[in-house]
Amino acid sequence: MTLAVPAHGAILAMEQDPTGAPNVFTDIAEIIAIDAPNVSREATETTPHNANISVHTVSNRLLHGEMSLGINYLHDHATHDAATGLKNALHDNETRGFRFRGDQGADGVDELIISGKVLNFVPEDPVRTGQRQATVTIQPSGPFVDDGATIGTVGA
Amino acid sequence: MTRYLEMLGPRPFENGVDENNRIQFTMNFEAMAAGPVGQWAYDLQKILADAGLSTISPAASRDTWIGPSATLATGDGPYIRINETGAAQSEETHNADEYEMLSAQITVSAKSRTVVETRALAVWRAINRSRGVTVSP
Repeated sequence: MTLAVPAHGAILAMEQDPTGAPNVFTDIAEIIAIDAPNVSREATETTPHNANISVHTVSNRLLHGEMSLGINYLHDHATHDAATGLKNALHDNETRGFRFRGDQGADGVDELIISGKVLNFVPEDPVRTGQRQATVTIQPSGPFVDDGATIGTVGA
Repeated sequence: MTRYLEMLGPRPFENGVDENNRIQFTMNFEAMAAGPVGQWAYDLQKILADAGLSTISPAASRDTWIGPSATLATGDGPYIRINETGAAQSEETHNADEYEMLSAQITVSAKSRTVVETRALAVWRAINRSRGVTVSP
């Protein structure tokens, strides 16, 4: 039996007001692409001089990559606009939650919740064909929650 | 009611004669619309009717027919036939929005070359480069 599932239906939700209404996530409208953050560890080669095969030491520190998002840009939509949407998240520079869920995702299932800031918001306006779109880049920071499990600690 | 993001097509071209020896000019359009789209060909006819270029009713003054099986009148024209044609698959969002891709062929026929060309160009200009248009049947 083959087990792959369609990527279609993945949703990214955001905290629109992380100070006034924390933990309230709203689905971002008309998403056309999501590239989840590349969480990685750095590797350093530590091969002894007398070895004839390489040895690597992998860092204890998890490293966040950027997360990118493509949308059909709706200038007056509450999750896109400058009042409460992604543009506002760029302008106010607040750290807020972003919650990714796959098509069958639910609380703690196929779910990734990060804290992060919006790094850029780039509308694209093709002159001839196609709808108005925008790309958004998000920089995650600090611990994240992957399928219900908190990953990483800061301090001490 | 359907909202069309865009309707685009190249200039009409001369395309032989029909069964009544009328000269034909043909043009093709591609469009993108917020789904679900009902009757694309009838929406095109509505745009042409609003521009004063097409009449379906009353029958006595009818000059437009929809679909390849329709039989055009036997007069001198100009007459218009609108056929829906194959198009690309829809564009989607993860949120289940659908934008349908559509295409159609419109053929204008008339005994007079001047008449058919004038009407074909008027039809083309009424539809081509339409953007953000909402059509209610």
